[in-house]
Amino acid sequence: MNKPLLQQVAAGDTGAVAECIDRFGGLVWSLARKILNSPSDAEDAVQEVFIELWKNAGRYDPNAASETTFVAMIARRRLIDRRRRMARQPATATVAINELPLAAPESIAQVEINDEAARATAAIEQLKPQQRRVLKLAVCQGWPHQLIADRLGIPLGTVKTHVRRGLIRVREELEAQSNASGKEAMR
Amino acid sequence: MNANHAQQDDRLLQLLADRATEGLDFESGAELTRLLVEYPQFDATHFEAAAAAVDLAMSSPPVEPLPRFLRDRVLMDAGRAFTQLDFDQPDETTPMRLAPPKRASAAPLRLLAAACIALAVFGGWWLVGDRTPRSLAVGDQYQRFLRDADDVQHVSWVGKEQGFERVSGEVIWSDTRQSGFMRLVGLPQNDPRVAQYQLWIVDPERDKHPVDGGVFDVTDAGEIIVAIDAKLEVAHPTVFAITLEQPGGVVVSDGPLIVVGTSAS
Repeated sequence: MNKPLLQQVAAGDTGAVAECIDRFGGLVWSLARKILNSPSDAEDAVQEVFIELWKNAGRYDPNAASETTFVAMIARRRLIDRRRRMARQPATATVAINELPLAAPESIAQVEINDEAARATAAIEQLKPQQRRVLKLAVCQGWPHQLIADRLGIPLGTVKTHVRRGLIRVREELEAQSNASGKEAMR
Repeated sequence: MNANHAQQDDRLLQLLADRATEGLDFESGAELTRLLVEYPQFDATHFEAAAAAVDLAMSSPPVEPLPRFLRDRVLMDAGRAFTQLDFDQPDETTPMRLAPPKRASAAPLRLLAAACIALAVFGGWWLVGDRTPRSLAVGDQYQRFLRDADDVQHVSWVGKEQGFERVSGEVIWSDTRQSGFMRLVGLPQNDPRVAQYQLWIVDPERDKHPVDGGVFDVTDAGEIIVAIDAKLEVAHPTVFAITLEQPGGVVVSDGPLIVVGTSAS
């Protein structure tokens, strides 16, 4: 089995760097375009995300997450921080809450659909409709919690609870699957 | 578990969930850092992987390909990042009196070799810096930089905020090398678990936003020398500024500029 790309980068194989950019560049760019409103911000952010990725490649643990999830995690952290610091609100005007699909829509097509995403979908489907809607607005649309509370007409504390419980549910699901995979591998 | 611990756990989980979705302000970030030190059983990425998986699962927009020009920039940055990290500068912007420098390992050598190949293949890589081996301490690198660089710009520091009035020293910077050093005298020590200093480089020719020059710590009184770790290419910096930020630094600072150096040119 091939060594994960990020581990190759961390081990000093620079050939893997170009491959990494080609494999995950579209994902990082799409996340940047979604989370940041300005294309020039998104361009700078993509550069910063990859620098962060090179620095953190050695921390990647294939037993904990897929490479796609790891890259998305690093990217989201940088992008959320950048957006918050620039105090720009996500483009909410073009999105009507009632139009947001509750069921998981067709996922990002060109990205490898990894196990985590599938398990996350399974976990999300177990949430109540309002919890699901809040989680989607907070995670996928990037709305601040206060904005979600205002737009849905529910208390801020309820929004925070939905987000937190939703993430706990997904995390439990991912951990359970990871443990099961580990046991399978031990056999 | 007593009630106080349960309350702290609860607060920590809330901060982690907030960070994974909407980010944290400076105070909340510092509070999270403190709680993570106090409760090491919690992973700092507790919810971030879950949020990333949710995003991948539920986001509907299709992936746009990375524009070619941006791919080239990322590749060029990678060349610079690996070169700087492994050869001409320490891993972080490290004060002179910290841990002794490490020797270059085989892996970075392979990186450099591959970087050179990539330069030939992709045509866009620009390996800058003098690739001074790691066996040189930061102070020696500073002296060597002063001696060898042809276009060294000297910019004096001025303390701007209360408590920093007595800070002095200078920045030395080379546009052609895209690197430089800070010499700082009298910058107060910081607790890196709570806050870190961060350098910003203003280049009006490049962008209205300053470029992140890297985070660093002051662990000792007196004079320190710190290698500058510019995250992006800068054409001609006119102002250097230091802020105090949450651990790890920030992407865009809204903190006060505590020490500033303005170029005379």
